[in-house]
Amino acid sequence: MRQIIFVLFSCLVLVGFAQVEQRTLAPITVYDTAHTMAYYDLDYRKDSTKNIYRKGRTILQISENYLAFSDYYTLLIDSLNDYAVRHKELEQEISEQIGKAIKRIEYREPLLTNLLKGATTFQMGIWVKLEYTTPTPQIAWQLMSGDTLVNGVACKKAMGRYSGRTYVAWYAESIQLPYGPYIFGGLPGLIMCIYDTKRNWIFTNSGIGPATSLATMYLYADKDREKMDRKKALDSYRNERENPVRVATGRGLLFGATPEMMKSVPSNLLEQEW
Amino acid sequence: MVRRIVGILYLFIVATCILSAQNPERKITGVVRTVDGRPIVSAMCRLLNAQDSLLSFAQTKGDGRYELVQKDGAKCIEIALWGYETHKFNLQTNISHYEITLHRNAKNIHEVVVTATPISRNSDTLNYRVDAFREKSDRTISDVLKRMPGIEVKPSGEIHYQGVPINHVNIEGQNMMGSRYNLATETMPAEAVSQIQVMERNQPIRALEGKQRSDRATLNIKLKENYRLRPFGEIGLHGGASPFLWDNNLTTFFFGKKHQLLAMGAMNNTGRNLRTLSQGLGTALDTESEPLPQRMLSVSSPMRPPLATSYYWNNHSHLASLNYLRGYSHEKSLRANMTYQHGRVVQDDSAYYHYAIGADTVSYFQRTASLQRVHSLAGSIAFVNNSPKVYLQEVMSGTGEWERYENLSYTHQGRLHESMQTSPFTLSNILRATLNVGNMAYDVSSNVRWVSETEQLYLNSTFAQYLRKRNFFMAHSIGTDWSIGRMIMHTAYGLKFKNTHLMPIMGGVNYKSRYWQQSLDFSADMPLGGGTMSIAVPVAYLSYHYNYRPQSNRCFLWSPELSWSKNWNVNVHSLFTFSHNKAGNTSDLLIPTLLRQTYRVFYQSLDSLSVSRTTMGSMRWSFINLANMFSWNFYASWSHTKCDSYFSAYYSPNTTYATPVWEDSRRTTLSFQLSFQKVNRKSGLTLSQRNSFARSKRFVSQNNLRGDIHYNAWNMSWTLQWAKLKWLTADLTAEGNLSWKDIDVFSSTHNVLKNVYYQLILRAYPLERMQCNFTFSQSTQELTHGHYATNCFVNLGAEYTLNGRLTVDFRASNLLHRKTYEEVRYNGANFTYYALPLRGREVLFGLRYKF
Repeated sequence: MRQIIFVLFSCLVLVGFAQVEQRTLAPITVYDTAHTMAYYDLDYRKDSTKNIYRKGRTILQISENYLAFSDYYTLLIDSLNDYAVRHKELEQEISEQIGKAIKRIEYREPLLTNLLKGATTFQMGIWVKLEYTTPTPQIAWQLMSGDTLVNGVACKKAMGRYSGRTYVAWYAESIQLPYGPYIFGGLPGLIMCIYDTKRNWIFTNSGIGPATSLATMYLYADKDREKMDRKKALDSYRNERENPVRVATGRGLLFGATPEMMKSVPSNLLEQEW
Repeated sequence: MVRRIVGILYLFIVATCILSAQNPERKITGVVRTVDGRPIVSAMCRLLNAQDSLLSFAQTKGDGRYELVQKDGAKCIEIALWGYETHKFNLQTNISHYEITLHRNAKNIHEVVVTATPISRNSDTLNYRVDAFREKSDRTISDVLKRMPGIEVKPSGEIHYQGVPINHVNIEGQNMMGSRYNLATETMPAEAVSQIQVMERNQPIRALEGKQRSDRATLNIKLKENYRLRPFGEIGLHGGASPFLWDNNLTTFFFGKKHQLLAMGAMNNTGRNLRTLSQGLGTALDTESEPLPQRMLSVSSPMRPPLATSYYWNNHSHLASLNYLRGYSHEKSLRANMTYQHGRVVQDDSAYYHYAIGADTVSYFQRTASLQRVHSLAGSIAFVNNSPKVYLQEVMSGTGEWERYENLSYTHQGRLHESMQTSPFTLSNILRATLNVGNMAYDVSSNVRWVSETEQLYLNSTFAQYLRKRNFFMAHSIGTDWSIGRMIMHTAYGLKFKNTHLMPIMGGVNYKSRYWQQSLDFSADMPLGGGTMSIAVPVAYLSYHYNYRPQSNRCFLWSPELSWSKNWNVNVHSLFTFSHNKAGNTSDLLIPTLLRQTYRVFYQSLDSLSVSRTTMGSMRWSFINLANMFSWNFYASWSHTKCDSYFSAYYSPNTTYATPVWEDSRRTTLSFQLSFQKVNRKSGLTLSQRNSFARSKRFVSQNNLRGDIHYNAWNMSWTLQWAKLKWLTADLTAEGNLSWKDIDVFSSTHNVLKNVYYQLILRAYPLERMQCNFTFSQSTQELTHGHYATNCFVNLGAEYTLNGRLTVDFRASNLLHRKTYEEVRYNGANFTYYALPLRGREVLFGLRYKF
C-alpha cells in the first residue's frame, strides 16, 4: 500500500511539473528521410524465468544511407507532440492520444545506423539518458536448410550469435534489403522473423511498404544526454532497468523510497554481453 | 634454451606461410555504383552456381566495395538492392574484380506490400486477425469464423476446432453467454472484432490446470479499441411482398470494464427460424448430462426438408433476449440471461409411406395442414469464481413453455383433426466447486432438476390420450485430482437419483419408477511415447425400482476407456480411443401400458431397465499449418452394440404399433471422415473438401419379419471460394450423396439412391459502397430408380451503404417461383416420399442502421 501511495505521489509531482511546463518541440537531430518502412511486432519477456510476454510494435526506417530502429509509438508520440506545438488549439485532444500511446511503448532503445560509415548509435535510458556509438556489429550467419512463410513471403533460415544469445532468423530473398530489426542484418534478404533460441525476444514482420508517414529519421539531442563507451553505457542502463527506484532516488527524481521498494527486478536486455 | 625457442618459432612461422600460400582464400572484389558514379551502400552481392544456388554472399560497404569468398562451382554474381534493377553477370576466367553500375527501379519500392500476419501463434494460443479473413459480404463474426482454418461452424451455430466442439466462447475474457454463445456469434458485427484467440487444449477451470487434461479449445473474441466502452449494434427494418412480409431486428452490445450486455430482439414472417438462437449448445462447463424426459405424444410431424426454412416455412416468429454480465474481477463474475421466444408456423405437406415387408409392402398416404404455436421463456443466473485456487460455479435456471399443435389431415381413415398441447416446466440448480491445494484438487458438484409436463392429445375434438409427467433428478459427486510426478489422477464418488411419475389416464394410476446409482470413477493421465495416455475405469451399481412390478433391476455397470493423444509437432495432433461401455438406459420413460402417440401410432415403451454393451474404437488425426493455412482432419470409428431389447414395429394402412421385445439385438457401425481446407491468400482461393462414408448393420423387426439391414452412405462435398478481385467474389459448392443397402429379408434390391446438390454465389462490388449478390442452387434427387426430382432456386440481393452507418438493401428469393419441393427419405428398410409447397417468389426491401 505504501509503495503505491509513494509512486502515485511521485508521479503527481512529475505530472504537476509537466502541467506547468509548456509543450515544446522534441529536441532531435534529423539524419535523413526514409523511403521504406518495415514494421515488426515485438514479443519479449521482461523476466526470462517466467513465460509472460509483453507485446509491442517497432519500426525499421530505411533510407539510402541510414537505418533507424525504434518503437512505433515513440515515433507517433514525437510526431503528435510536434503537431500539438504547431496547433495549440488541438492540444487537449492530442494530449489524450499521446496519453493512450505512451502506455503502449515497449521498446526503449532507439538506434541509428550510418551505412556509409558502418557505425551505429544506440540511445537508451529513462531517468538517465545515455548514448554510445560503435562499429555496426557484423553477425557471422550460417545459412541453414529450412523454408517457411512469414506474412505470405517465402523465407529461408539462418542462425547466428550476437551478444550472448543464439538467434534464428528467417529472411526473404525476394525482398532485396539486407536488413532487419535492431542491428540484425547482413543476410541476402530482409529478415522477416528473428528470435533467440530461448524465445526471450521475438520480432515478426507485420508489414513493409513505402514510407508515407513517420518517415523522418532522427536521434534525440537532449542537452543532458550522456555520451560514453558501450561498456559504461550498458552497465549504467542495466543498473537502471534492474534498480529503477534506486537510480531515480539517487538522481533526486524520486524520494521517500523504502528499502522494500529498492529491490532489484529482472531486466532481460537484448544485449547480454559487453 | 633461448636459441631453441627462437628456432621453433621461426620454423612455425615459415610453415604457416607455406601452408597459407598453398591454400589461399580466393576472393572476388568489386565496387557497385549508381549511374552518376556514387557508391551504393548495402547492395547484396550473391555468388551463385549453375543451378542458382547460393555459394557465398556479402554486402557493399560505405564506399560501395564488396568482397566475396570464391567457391568451387561458382558461375555468376547477382547484385541486388531494393530500388535498383538487379544485375546478374557470369564470372570470367582470370578476372576477380568487377565494377558494377546499378540503374534505378522506382517500381520496386511500391511492388511488395505485405500485410500483417493473419494468424500467429504464442505457445498454445492461436491469434486469428479478423480483418485478414473478413470479406465485404460478412455481416457477423460467425460468417468470418467459417473462413478461418481449423474452425468449423455447424448449422446450429456450434463451433468446432480441429473437429472437436469448443469449451465455450469468451468475449473480452468473460463468459457472458454460457451455452448460448451462438446468440452472440451470430449477431455480433464482424467489423467490431479485431482478433479471435483460440486457446488449444484449454482447461477452462483454472484450479484444474495441470491436473485435468482437456482436448477442447476455448475461443476468446477481442474487440477493436473503438468498440469497447460504448454501446454498438444494429437496427434492421425490412418489408416486402407477397403477401405482406416483415423482418426486423435490434441488437445492442456493450462491453465495459466491468459490465457486458447483449440485448436482442428479432421478429419475422419470412421463414427465418429464430429458435436455433435460443437453444443451448452444451459446453464443457455444463455438468448437466441427463437428457430431459422424452415427449411421448405428438401430432403427425410435418416434414423438414434439407432446405433453408425461408423457402417453405410460413411463420410468425419473435425473439427477445437479454444477457448481462457483471465482472467483479478477472476471476469473478455474475451473469443473468433471459430469452423469450414465440413461434407460429403453418405448414402443408403430403407424404407417402412405404414399408418393405419382404415380398409384401404396406403403404399409406397422408396430406396434412399443420399449425404450431410455441411460447417459451428461459432464464438463468450464474455466479462464477474461476481463480487458480478456487473454482465455484452456481447456476440456477428455469424454462417454461406452452406448445400447441394442430393438424388437419386427409388419410386412409378420412378427414382427421389432431391437436396436442403441452406445457413443460423445468427448474434446475447446478453447483460446482473445486479447491486447489498444492498437488491436489478437490471437486464437489451437485445437480438438481425438477420437470413437470402434461401432454394431451385430441382426435376430432375427442380426448384421445393424456400423460402427466413429473420427474425429479439429482446427481452429486465428490472427487479429487492430484498429480504424482507427471501422472495426473482423478477419483470420484457419485450418487444419482431419479424419480419419475407417469399418469397416462387423468385421475388414473400413477406409474412410478425410480433408480439409485452409485458410481466410483478412477482415471489417470500419464505421459507415454511423447504423448499422453488416459485410462478411465468407472464402475457403478444401479438399482431400479417400480411400483407396478415386484421385481427390481440391479446390476453392475462399467465403462473402461483407454485413449492416447499426441502432439507430433505444432501442426499435427492425433487421438486414439478404445472403450467398452456397459450402460443402463436411464433416460427413456418406462411405462407398462400402451400409449396412443399420434392418430395412428400406438407405442408401448419399455417397462423396466434395458442394458446395452458397446465396444468402440476411434482414431482422429488433425493437422494445421499456419504458414500456408492448410488444415485437414481424419476421423475413423467403429462401434458394436449389443442390447437386451429392441422395438418391433407392425405397420398396417391404418395403424402402426411399436412394442418392446426382450431379446438381444446388435448394431455395428463403421465410419470414416476426411476433410481439409486450404487458404491461398495470393490467389484469393479457399478450398474446402469433405468426404465421409458410413456402413451400419442393425437389427430390424417389422410385421413379423426380422433380419439385419446393412446400409451404406457416402457423401462428398467441395467448396471453392475466390476473393482475389476487390470487386468480385465467388463461392461454389458441390455435394453428392450415394446410399445403398445389401440385399436382405426386407427387400431384394440394393435400393441405390443418388442425389447431387450444387450452389453458386456471386458477389459484386461495382461501387465502393455497393454490393450485389446472386445465388443459384440446384439439387437433383433420385426418388426411385431412374426417376429424379430437380429443385432449382435463384436469389438476388443488393445493398448500398449511404454514410457508413445506414444501409439500404433489397433481396428477392425464389425468383424462378418454384412452388413445390419433392424428396424421398430412406431409412434402410422403408421409404417416405413427400412433397410440400414452397413460399414462392418474394421480395423484401429494408434499412439497416449501425451504431
